[in-house]
Amino acid sequence: MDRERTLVAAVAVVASLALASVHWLGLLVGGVAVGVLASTWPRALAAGLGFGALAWVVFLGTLWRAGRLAAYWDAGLLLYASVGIPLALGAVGALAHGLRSDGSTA
Amino acid sequence: MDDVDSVRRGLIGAVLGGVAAGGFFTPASTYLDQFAPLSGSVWDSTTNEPPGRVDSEYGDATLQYDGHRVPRIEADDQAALYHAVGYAHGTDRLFGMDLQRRLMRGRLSAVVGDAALDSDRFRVQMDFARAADANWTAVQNRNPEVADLLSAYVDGVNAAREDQALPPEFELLGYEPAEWTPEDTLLLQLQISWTLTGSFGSLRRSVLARELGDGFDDLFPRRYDHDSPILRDGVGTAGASAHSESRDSRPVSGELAGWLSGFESPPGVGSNSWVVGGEYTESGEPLLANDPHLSLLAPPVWYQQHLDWGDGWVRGVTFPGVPFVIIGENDAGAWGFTNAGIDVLDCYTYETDGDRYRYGDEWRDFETAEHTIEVDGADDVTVTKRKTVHGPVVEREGEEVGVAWTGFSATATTDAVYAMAHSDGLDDFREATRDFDLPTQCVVYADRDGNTYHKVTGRVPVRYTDGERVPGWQVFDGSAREGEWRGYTPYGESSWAGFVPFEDKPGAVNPGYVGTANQRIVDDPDDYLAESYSPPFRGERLYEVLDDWAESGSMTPEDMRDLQRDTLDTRARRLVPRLLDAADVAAAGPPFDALPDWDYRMDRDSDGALAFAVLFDAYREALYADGFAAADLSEDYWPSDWVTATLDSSPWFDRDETPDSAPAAMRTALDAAADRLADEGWETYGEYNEASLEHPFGQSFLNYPGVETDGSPATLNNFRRDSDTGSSWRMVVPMSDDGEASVVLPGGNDGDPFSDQYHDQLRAWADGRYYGFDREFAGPSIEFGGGD
Repeated sequence: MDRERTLVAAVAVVASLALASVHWLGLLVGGVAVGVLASTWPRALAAGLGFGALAWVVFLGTLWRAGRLAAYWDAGLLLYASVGIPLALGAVGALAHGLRSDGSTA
Repeated sequence: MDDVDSVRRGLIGAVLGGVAAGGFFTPASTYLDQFAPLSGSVWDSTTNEPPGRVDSEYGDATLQYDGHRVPRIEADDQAALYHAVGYAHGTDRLFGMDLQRRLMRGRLSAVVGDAALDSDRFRVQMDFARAADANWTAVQNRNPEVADLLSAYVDGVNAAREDQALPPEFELLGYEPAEWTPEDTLLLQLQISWTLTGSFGSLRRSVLARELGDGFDDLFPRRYDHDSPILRDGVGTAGASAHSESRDSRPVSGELAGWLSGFESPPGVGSNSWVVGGEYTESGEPLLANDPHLSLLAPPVWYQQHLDWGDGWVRGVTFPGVPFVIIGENDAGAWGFTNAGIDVLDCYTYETDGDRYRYGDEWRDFETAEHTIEVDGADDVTVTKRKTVHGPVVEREGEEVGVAWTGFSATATTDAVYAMAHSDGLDDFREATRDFDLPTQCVVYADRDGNTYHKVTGRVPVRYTDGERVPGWQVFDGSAREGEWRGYTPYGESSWAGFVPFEDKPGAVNPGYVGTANQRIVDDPDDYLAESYSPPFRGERLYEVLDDWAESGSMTPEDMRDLQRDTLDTRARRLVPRLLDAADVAAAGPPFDALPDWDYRMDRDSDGALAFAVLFDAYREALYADGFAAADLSEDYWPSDWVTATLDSSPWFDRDETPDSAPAAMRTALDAAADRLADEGWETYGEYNEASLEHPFGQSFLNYPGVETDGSPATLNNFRRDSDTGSSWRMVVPMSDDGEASVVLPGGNDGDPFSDQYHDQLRAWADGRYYGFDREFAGPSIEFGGGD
């Protein structure tokens, strides 16, 4: 069962990242997916933040590939926004854990 | 329990839905659309790379970048070549191009709000856009070949604009640029011409003479007392000046003169260039050097490009938006420009009667047109454009002047710039120079046959009042038909019949060596040329060194680079001995106690340089601040550094508001400088002399990092910290085939702020290092061709 859930989570994460590459809604959807699949609230929150962090790392990869990474570290507000947005949307999305019928698990 | 679950789910669903909806329908949507990682438009705009292949109806061309984002473009056909140039400019500099045309068209407020409204009002009234339209009509009639190349270039810009994500600045400002047009290119040509020749000096002098009275002549001499004109020892035209001066017309207020002066170029715009004949060089072939001093911006005002069309090549810099290399080198020779400082703008006042103005014995209607300025975040503003026989009328708070400027007429400069870039030696280049109607420049040229050349370019007006020639250093009474220009048609094609003939303008063929640094061109020209020239600090230093080196007759490219890096400040050489006599610098402690043994070099680690810089600032303040404030004149009106360095006995010191004497002002300045140094905490001249070059958009992440550098406003190694102007391109080109041609930009060639080539040359520029003009082009490439 855990293996199945992991597989579903992995597919959901990849699909959400694909969506996030064309629209920011993918960051929220990814948070929703990992939040719903998490077994507890703390894990859901961690998974939401983790998804946001993963999206940011993938984003860094795209900047690196385009030769834009060095200047990114000096981008000030743009840097902060691009870090904050995926973490915030991932964490908010993870609230979807509470939509589960057993959402009150601790 | 079910109810609790339902409520919880409902709340969570509401939160998620609310966040999603908020992301779509609140101001947050803009930030998410722009900055969300992976999908944000700002990131898309910077990670988007040009395609490897572009359809072009103009034929085959190849564009390939080097490691500094400098493109080499190869094509057999000229239209294919310049189409690819347009693509390169559209790829690398589209935002800057759009910003400049917005500036000149008076459309900045539409994207930045009412902060730019004054600028827009001025430029709409001046109607630069109509002048560009007239220019395009004239180019098509006069030179269809060049017009076709401009069209090909424009199509290239627009292809890049359509093929690729827009630069990040457009995403941040939230607008899309309109199609690029040939008129836009000609408008940018006008922009640089305005920067170099748009001067309301006559208005300022009129105000100053009235407000200052006694002392005006000492503070604002028409001619600086020096022996280093560009053309010395009778080279070029010379002879007695035979002008009569007419009376000043009706007075113009300091407010209007000050407002208009705000639309001139910032202090410090100028240039150095020199050419040395083979008899004075180690190789036996000429050497040429040029470094234009313009606003230093992020990204730079220049764009470097190398073009190859099979049986010829050219490399150098142009203004993004202009297809042809303006300063550079080709297979036959090399050339550069400095600003000539010639007076090509006059102001006129009128007797008016509502919608009419008197012109001689008749009353004429102003030519009028309504123009709406769009303002972001505010109501539109309507401006009435008015024109007289002389040109546009600029109005502020009910006061107005008419303006005549050579740039309002169509010119053949575009033809000339193209012809220079494709010239085949001295004779060809001289022919091209004839067409260089605007701006007035000192061009220097060297070819691979060993020739050298200097010439003043541009149309130089001759003014007539009552049939007599008069100088242009006054505000003319337009109603009395003073200061008329013969053969001039604003917003149309001029015959230039009454202007100074090409042959009569100063110049020299194979002059041995000639040094131009915006100083006086010749001592006694036959024709009135200028109200005043730049202080000759750089010019005299340039000739001092060239004269010295000429004796050995073995100058090298490295010598030329050393001369461009020269930091000896002749202001200091004049002023410091007087300071040492007047004040006890040893008692002031470091760094002032370094002044007695200082070598006058403005090097970043020099104590003497730091002491002199802050002392000079304080001395200007001591000399002028109170006296000018009492006359209700701002700092913008203060005299030049030449006057500051040389002013000694003068009626200026007899006023209640001014210091008792120059030495008294020096003592005051020493105390003030010490206080300022303590406040600011500068420990080296480099800390004081930091280049902090800014992007016009004003967002900190777009600005360049600050870099300490050498030089001052008065040294050949030129940098003015107060206005961020200085050497905007350094180029040293030998005519011998030794591969030592070298160049550097103050920043980088790529306008993308996230690119590694956004400011990859900045440190080298600040440190006085160069890159070889020869490049290896192994970077990204684009193939053009195959289109219908």
